[in-house]
Amino acid sequence: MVSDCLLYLVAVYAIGAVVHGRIRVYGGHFAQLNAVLGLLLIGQDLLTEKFAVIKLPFFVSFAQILDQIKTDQKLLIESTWSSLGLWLISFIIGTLIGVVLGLFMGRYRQFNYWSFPFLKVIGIIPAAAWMPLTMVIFPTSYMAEIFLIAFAVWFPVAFMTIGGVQSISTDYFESAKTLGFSEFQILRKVVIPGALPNIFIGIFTAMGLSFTMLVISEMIGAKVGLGWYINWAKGVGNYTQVYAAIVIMAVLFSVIFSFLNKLQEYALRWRQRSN
Amino acid sequence: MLDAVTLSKKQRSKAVKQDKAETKYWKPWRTSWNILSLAAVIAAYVENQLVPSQELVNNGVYKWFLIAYFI
Repeated sequence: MVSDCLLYLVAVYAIGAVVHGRIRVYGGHFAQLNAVLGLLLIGQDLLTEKFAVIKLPFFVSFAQILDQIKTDQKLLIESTWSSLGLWLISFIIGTLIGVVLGLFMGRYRQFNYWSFPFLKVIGIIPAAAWMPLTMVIFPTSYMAEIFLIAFAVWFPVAFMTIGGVQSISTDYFESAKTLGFSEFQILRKVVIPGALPNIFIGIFTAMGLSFTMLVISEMIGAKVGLGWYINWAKGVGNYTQVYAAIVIMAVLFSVIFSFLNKLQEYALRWRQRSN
Repeated sequence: MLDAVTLSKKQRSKAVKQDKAETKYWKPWRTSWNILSLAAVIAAYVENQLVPSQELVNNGVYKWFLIAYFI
């Protein structure tokens, strides 16, 4: 059955590659990568599951990882949703705080005078350093996790937003004032669009930090989530489960990254038009 | 029925999409590489099927992964 499917797909691929332009473009681009990845899979399978050259159970084959994902699918789906929800809430809160602070600090000198020293001192502290305090201060561990992830996000976003606002040419502000724009209109039509490329740089920088903080905070306080799952698997000594969670994280974080990339493309579509 | 303006808009959008795809996926088609990539995935499937495992592993998901990966 599986062999028949494989043969059928080979035939479809071969015909499609020649006839259809898009398949030809993708197939041509990824062929070398696919060939190397295929060989790597063979090498890994032989070294681990088949001949145990690399010692089991610390190193496992990809087949074992996929089998583990299937076996634990219920728990993994629950953990993935939990991690995604926690990350989303925290990331949105952190980004909003960062963008608002950055816009105000970049636009208003008085606000910048009073708040920038605090930003420089507090923002530079690694979020993980707050961990022991947050576990005591916040009533629930979930709130503490939200705080830690949001804390890792707000600083890079705020810092890049300030730079973005300050790099906008003064000509735009003068033109806006000449045209009779109100302060709100200047913020909406000049400041935010002008700072948007920098805001996205900040968001992408913060994204990596937020993923790190998500896993660390879940390992400490959570009762469900991918970080918790890794910690639990380590406790019972099942390293295949650790790899399974890592593979799911790789997929999840790649999807989030692609989504943000698309969002950036859409928000900055005027840049492509001007090119 | 499509009028001339709609048709030209569609053609333009199609051309823009094709240009984008060709810029992003810039490596040209090489039949030898495509045959090799195909052979590598088939070899991975055959190797997994034929070489006996040291442990009891259900390789069903892996086989489906290889098929999906190939697509």
